[in-house]
Amino acid sequence: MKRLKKLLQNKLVFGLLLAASLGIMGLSGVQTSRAALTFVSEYYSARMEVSNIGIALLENGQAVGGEGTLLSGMLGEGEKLQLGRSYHETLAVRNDGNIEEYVRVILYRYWLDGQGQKNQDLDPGLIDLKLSEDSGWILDESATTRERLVLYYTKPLPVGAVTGGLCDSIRIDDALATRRVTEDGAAVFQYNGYKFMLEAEADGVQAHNAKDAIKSAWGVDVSIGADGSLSIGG
Amino acid sequence: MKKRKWPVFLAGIALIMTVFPNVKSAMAYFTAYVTASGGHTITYTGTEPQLDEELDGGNKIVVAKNTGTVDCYIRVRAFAGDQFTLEYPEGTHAGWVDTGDGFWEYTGIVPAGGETAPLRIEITRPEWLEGDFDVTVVQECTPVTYQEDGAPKPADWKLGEEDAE
Repeated sequence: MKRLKKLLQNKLVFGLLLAASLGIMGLSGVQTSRAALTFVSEYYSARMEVSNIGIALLENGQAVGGEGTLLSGMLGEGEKLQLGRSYHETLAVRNDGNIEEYVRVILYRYWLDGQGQKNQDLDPGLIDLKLSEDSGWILDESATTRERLVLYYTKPLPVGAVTGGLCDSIRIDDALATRRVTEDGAAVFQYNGYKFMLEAEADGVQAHNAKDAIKSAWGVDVSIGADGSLSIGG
Repeated sequence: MKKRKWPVFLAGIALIMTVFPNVKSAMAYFTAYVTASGGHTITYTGTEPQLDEELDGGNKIVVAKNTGTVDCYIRVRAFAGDQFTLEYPEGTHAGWVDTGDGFWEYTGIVPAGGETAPLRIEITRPEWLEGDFDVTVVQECTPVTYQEDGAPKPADWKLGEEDAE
């Protein structure tokens, strides 16, 4: 007891104990005030609508997408292809998003040989796709080849709207009925087993700030008129 | 000392010029796309019809069968020596027509796997001729092609012919 009394009479020890007690009291007060801050927060709610762009390719009015979906309804069950005959084939685009957009379609037509390899000799033009007139689509001649057709829809496409058909029909030229006489004198059809292919890619880009957006997304210079009409070239 | 600052300054300008032009192209725009593809195989096999010949006394009755996979037109022609007379009497060649160039053409389309109506060829040989003799019948076919509205085009016997290899 005497030792404790003597110890407390030491100024240094007394000062240290006083400082420690003040520190403990102060820190405990801070923790309390922290808890009070989180407890009194109020709840606020906010609603944000995120813009969404969407596009659908329609073949004869039906949405298609993926391999083997195009031309699947061209022939009936067991029906044989008739060379020279026109088959109904309409392609159009629908705006499936919630913002207005400009659209284009790139078509590829080509031949596969009997082994499934792409044939470079047979003219893709024998796959005769009849493009529609006055349907709002324009052909980009500078980007179009025998195999590739690039078409732009000249008007902004509102949400849910469908473009006019960019083509009316497809026809395989009867020049394909070429016969070749073999060494043993037999005549055979040269292109038996060949397959004609059609690929379509539909692209959409926002109508807002369209000129820059199209340049950025498609790498194409276009002009946008005051009425929103699109023309190719800067 | 001042001169040494120029390279640093120029490097900074170059860096800015490199970065800023790309900022615009890197700006995000809303885009979307969808792709679809498909096709059909051309199945054109079999080019010559199979000819069935039946002997009726000294005469021949021929029927041509389309053994290919494509509808076609068929015509036939009979060959014999000058001493023979070949006739196609009325009432025995329904569906066939004499095209005037030596051929008899079947007027209908012969579907894949189908056959023509029979064509009777009456052969008259001179009385002095004895023993066996040959009358050869050859046949040709050409595939049916179509107009845009789906109506078949008339037979084109030169259709798609190429020189022998």
